[in-house]
Amino acid sequence: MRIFTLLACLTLLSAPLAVQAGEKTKAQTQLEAAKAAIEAFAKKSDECKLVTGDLEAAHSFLKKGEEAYSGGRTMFGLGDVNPEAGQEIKFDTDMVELYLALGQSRIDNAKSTDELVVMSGLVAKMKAKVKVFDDRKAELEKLRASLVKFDATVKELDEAKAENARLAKKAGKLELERKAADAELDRLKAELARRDLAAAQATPASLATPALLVPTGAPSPVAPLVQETAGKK
Amino acid sequence: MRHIMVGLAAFIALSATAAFGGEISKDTAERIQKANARAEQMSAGKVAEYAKEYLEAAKLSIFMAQAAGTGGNEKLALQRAEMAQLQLTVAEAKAGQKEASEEVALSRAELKRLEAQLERYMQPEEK
Repeated sequence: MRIFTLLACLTLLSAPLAVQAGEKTKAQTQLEAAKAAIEAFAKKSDECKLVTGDLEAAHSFLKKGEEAYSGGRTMFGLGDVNPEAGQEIKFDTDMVELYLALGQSRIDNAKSTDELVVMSGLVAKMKAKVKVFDDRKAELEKLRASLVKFDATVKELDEAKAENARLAKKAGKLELERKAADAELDRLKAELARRDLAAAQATPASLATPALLVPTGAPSPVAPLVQETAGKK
Repeated sequence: MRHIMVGLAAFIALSATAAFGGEISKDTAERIQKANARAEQMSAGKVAEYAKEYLEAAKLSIFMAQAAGTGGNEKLALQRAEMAQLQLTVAEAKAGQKEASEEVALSRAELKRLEAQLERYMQPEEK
């Protein structure tokens, strides 16, 4: 009977301990989460030198948290740690989280910077290629403008040539007319001379007859003919 | 939401400092002051735009540090000042990273535009 009583008491006493052992306290959970986060980050960062300091700082805070947990446990390990240790653990795990965020940010920043360098190089190369085409395009536009100007000049030249030909033709025609007029003038002059001679021979004393004299300043009988010919010129 | 957080933080800080009554060390006070000045400086720059979340968290930590300092809780004040400095460093790093990401995105867009332009040049001209 006494043995049964003893066993029952032991069972009752050990039951909470068993339950407690199965459950993790808040501080434990925080520390384990921080530890797991550090391990995951260390694996992911693959010993990247950029984050060595951050990882060391995170480890340091985790260690401090673990020490606070060890030092702040209540009697017999029942329940969570005391409030002061709990606050210390919370601070340490928060700092671990922040250092990991800082490390991650450094890695991302380095990646972005590298990518930016590559992109800047590509952009510069592409700009150079495009510039070649831009320059050629500008040159082509210039040539097109020159061509338009040239076409206009050629047209003007053709027009001038046509005008020149027209004027030359007209000048030829006028020259022929002038020659014809000159010939007519010569003929008329000869005719006049002939008539004057004939008149002189027919009446030698005609000079004494005032009625037959041609008054000084009066038009010659052939004057209208000469004037007509000159007008044609 | 922010007001609730600040109120809650103030309550926690004041309740945590209620048990203390002395003054904090000059070093701790200087740390809080430095963190505050740094936060103010960063609030006026790009960090406020790119890493607002971390900057706000840092300001809250500074506020809690100040509250702890007023109550004479040296340890809590020091912890919060240290955390604020780290939060500000993270904010700076995040802002830098976001800015670099934006520049990469801009460069990518520029490259795409140039490639399209080159493609147009390479195609035979329509008559």
